[in-house]
Amino acid sequence: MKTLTLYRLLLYVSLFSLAYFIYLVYISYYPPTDGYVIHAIQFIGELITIPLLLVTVFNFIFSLYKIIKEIEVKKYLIVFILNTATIVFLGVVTYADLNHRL
Amino acid sequence: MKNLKKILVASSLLLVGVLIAYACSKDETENQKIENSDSGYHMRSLDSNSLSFEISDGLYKLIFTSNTKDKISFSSELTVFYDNDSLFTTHYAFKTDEEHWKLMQAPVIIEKSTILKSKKIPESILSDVSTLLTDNIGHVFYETMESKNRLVVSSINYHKSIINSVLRAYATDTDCGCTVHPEFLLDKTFFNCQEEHFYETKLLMAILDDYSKENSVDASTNKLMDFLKTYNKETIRFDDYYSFYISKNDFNLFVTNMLMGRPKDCRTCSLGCGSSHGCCGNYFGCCLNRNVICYLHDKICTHCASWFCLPGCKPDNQRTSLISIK
Repeated sequence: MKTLTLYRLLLYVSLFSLAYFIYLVYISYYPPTDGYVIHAIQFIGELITIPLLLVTVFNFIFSLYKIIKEIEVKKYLIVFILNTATIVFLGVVTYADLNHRL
Repeated sequence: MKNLKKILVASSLLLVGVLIAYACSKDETENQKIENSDSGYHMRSLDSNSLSFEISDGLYKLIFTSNTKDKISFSSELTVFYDNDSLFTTHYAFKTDEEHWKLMQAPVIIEKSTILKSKKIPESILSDVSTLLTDNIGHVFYETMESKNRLVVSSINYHKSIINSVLRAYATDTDCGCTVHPEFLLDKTFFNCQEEHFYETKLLMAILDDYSKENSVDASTNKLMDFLKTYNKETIRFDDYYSFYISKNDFNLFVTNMLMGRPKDCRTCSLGCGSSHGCCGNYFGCCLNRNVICYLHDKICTHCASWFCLPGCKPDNQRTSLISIK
């Protein structure tokens, strides 16, 4: 059985973050019609969105640090790319939101 | 490898720089000017929190300005000129951070229209101004809804309602009156008095006929349909239509009770309401889970500015009104 290394943990969290935020943005533009589903999303979303944003920023900085220090560069490059993609994606959608909705 | 490191550091710094630059940047559309000479109105497009336009028709000139500094306090002004002489100016201001702020607007409209009526402005002039506003308001909404703060744009409606209230008072020789439109309370429209909204009788009858063929119809709607069969005017005023469902006295009583402060259903809840700041989610009844992360999220999303605020987000001011209606 493979042990859950720090790298694997960061990789899975990064993948989950990217998928979660893509889903969140999608349902913001195409919200479900069922009121119970919206309440469930709001309940869970309010709880985990901010922590997940902080985790994404931490993963980004941590993977950058690992790459600069040349520690398992190839592995952490994937984590770095995933988190960069998440941050850029969220930056773009936030920019689009603020310019079109407000 | 060293090159890769340099590229990564540089790109990371660039990314952080871009995000900081965006956060500190101002709206680039500031002071952009839009003019449309064909339709007789000129619009000056300031930032999203300000709106200014001018309507000219013959000897009439209407200048309207509206703005907000903090997205909570809104103020607007409509000045009417005739042959370059200023006839009258109406001022309107409202704040959205007050509880039941939507319910407070109709009494203000009555107060403002009573003041305007006391100025003894001829009915024909007010009628022309009302027509000008009605004819051009659609263009203004069309051109500004995407780029402007909705409440800044909506300020036009208060001035329109003030003038229309005076016109109704002239026509019926009564005091100025205005009953808030329920669709405004439900955030489906901007402010309107019930008395200034009309349905086409034939269209309403056709819709009700279609509806009754596919659905069971309640007693109130049946009475309305019976009434419409004998009603021979082209239009029916909204408050006349609505009175089949709730009498105006009962509706006004409901508004008064809300303004006097009916205790909330969740007053005995240990964690407060499901819709209050700090409670995870937004629902009626008692809060099930309250913590600092949800409080932070709710505070950031007071105005539902972004995807981050999750689907179904209700801005604070609207949230209050929606709860009130229930």
